[in-house]
Amino acid sequence: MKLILARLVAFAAINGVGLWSITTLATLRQWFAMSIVLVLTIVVNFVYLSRRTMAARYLLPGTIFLVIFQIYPVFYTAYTAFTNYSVGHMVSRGEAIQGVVRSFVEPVESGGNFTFTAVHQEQTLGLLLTNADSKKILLGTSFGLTAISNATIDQDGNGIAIPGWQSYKTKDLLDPVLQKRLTSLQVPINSSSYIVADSTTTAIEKVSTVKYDPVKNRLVDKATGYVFPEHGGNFIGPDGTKLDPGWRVNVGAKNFVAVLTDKRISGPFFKVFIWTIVWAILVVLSSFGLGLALALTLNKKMKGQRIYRSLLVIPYAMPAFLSVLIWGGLLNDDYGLINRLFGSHIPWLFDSFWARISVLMVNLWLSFPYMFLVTTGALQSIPAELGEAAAIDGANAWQVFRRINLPLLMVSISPLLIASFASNFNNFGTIYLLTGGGPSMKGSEVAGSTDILISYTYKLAFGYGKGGDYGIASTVSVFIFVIVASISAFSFRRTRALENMN
Amino acid sequence: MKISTWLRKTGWRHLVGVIAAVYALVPLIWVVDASFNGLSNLSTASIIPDHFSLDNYRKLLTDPNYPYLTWYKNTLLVAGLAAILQVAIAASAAFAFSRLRFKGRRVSMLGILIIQMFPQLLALVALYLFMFQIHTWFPAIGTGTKAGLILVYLGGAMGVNTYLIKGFFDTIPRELDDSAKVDGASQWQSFRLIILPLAAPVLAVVGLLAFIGMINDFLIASVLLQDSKNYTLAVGLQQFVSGRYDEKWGPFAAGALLASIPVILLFQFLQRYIVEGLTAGSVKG
Repeated sequence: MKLILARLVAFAAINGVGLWSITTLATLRQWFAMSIVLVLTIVVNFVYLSRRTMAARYLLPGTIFLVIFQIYPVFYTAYTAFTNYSVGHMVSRGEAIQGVVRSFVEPVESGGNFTFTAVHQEQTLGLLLTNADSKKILLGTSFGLTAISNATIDQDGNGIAIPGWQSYKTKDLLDPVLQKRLTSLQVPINSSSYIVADSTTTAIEKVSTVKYDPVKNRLVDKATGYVFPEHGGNFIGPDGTKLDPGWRVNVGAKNFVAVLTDKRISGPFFKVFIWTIVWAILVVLSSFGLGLALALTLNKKMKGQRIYRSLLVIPYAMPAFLSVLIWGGLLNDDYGLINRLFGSHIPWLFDSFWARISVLMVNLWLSFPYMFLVTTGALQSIPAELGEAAAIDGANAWQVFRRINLPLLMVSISPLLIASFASNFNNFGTIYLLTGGGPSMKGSEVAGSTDILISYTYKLAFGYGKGGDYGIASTVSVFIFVIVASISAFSFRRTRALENMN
Repeated sequence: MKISTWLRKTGWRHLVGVIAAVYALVPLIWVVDASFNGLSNLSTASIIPDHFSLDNYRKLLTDPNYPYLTWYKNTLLVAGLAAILQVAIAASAAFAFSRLRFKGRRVSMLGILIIQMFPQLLALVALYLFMFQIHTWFPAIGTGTKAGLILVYLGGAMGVNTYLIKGFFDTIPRELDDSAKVDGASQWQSFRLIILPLAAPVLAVVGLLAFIGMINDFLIASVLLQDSKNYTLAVGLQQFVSGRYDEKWGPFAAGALLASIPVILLFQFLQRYIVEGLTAGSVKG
């Protein structure tokens, strides 16, 4: 009984959320997204109602998240790499035309004057408008105007509430976020005039000064007659002024060509690319070297062995983001502990050579315990008899290590070294949290001397100042994908994961 | 035994061990000292504490611009909830792969393995644009929300974890569920009442490791979260010390200590399992 009830509740909840999302997307006129949610809801219902989908019931939740948040973003990255997607080119062409037309507006001399009450239905903001002269009541949203007959009115005949919508109170209007949404709301009357709030209680009619000419695909300034033909996702005026916003267009392989040949982008890109590889190799070699040395040293019956081991694991146990931030303090050139301890004045984080040394040192600190742990484990699994037999045959300690222990060790460790290379290739945390990729590289506005590809991507897309260039950032991501795929294909044959498949 | 023999045989190993331990501990020692010496800047923090004060902790917990406790709560909430859901999703998928035979089983396992080779963070830009789009439709789960961050983390639920858990499920004798079936148990019941309880310790370990992994995430959290009151510790503390001449290192050290102690303890407790997991081929960040 309890189980049936629980199922019913879950079932109702899923369908409720599904239906609600579908209606929300329908009111927003997002037909594509709506049909995706619709299909998804039907699939979920089918899987949990049909008797023939036993395995799918257990796999569906994970699969849904996998597809939406991992597989889809990968394809979307590839798609974005072929567009001019960036801040200023975020919207579709239609929305951009609307945006430009709406951004050039001026009050209409003979236009209507309104008082309004701000109302909302879920997230949709609306103006309950009362015409100051005729006292006619209208509901305006970003989609348009509807005449209202069932509004509640106050003694002056102004609409203050309507069924199905919630009215904002005067104190709500003090919220700057809401104020901003209110002032940016434009209620379209027709293709070129709008009703716009000009205070928190009154609104006026405004008309756009430019007009879209659908035949010649251009914008025309109504007063001056200037034309703005479209070019590569923008309307561009005779003097070269770009009208904002622009829109997303496919640019073909332009971004790829730019990354590979445009000096301003390809120069830093190749430098960052080479450093990424050097970085990943040096990190693997140094951490494996130190880890192995420590494992060999401490892998002998001695007092305090356990204490050494648990102390050496501390860097691995501390949350890495904190360790890196702490090292940032220790390496501060003016006040940091390291410079004061050694009485030096080394610009650890602000000189391109020393910054590279710093990120390598800090990452060595972060990753040697892992190598220490795995090599200790691997060393212990090598039977001692092998070394003893070799010793009887006259091999010295170095020969035993070089000819017997090391080759056996590499069998189990080499897949881990490849994995470590792959993960350090994308080790964003150490680089970004320690140096922010800096200091800046000569000849590049974005890239810095310690930037690796993933931090370079991050800065292209989300960096302060410059940034917002999603198309180019995605193109760099595609390059990383290709490199990671090659490393993976190489290591795939070497992992034991496949054996687990039966 | 003569001292020189001891030195040659074992003593030098202790020397190396002590030096390595000091190297490993310097940041932690510094954090402890800097957090308790009561001074807020870097310059006076040394390895040897000269006086004791809780000033930095008071400053940390009362700074209205940097709501540390809120970040702490956010981190526990986001990483905790996402870890629980990840384990639930991974365990049920692992059950299907371990106990059920169906068309496309091998292919989907191979597919998951291949997809996992491309970490989510590579698709960061697209994830952001997608979540931003979601934000315009459903502000409650888009960019800038903890719920959105949790959803994105769940994208990684089917993956390494599924493999680890499936490996463990495979070691549970099938006779157990067969006999339960004879007694009239449904498939769901044998999963819920037999397999899951037997696997509880493994599920706990996988969950805790996922938890630690998400506490450590800076990249995705920093891209998706926008408002200081929604930050996780990683994003918040980075902002806290990002200014070069900032006088916030003392309070930062206090915050770092409060955040790392639980994780270090958890890690020591889990060490045995982690070492086993490590040699099975998984790598932390």
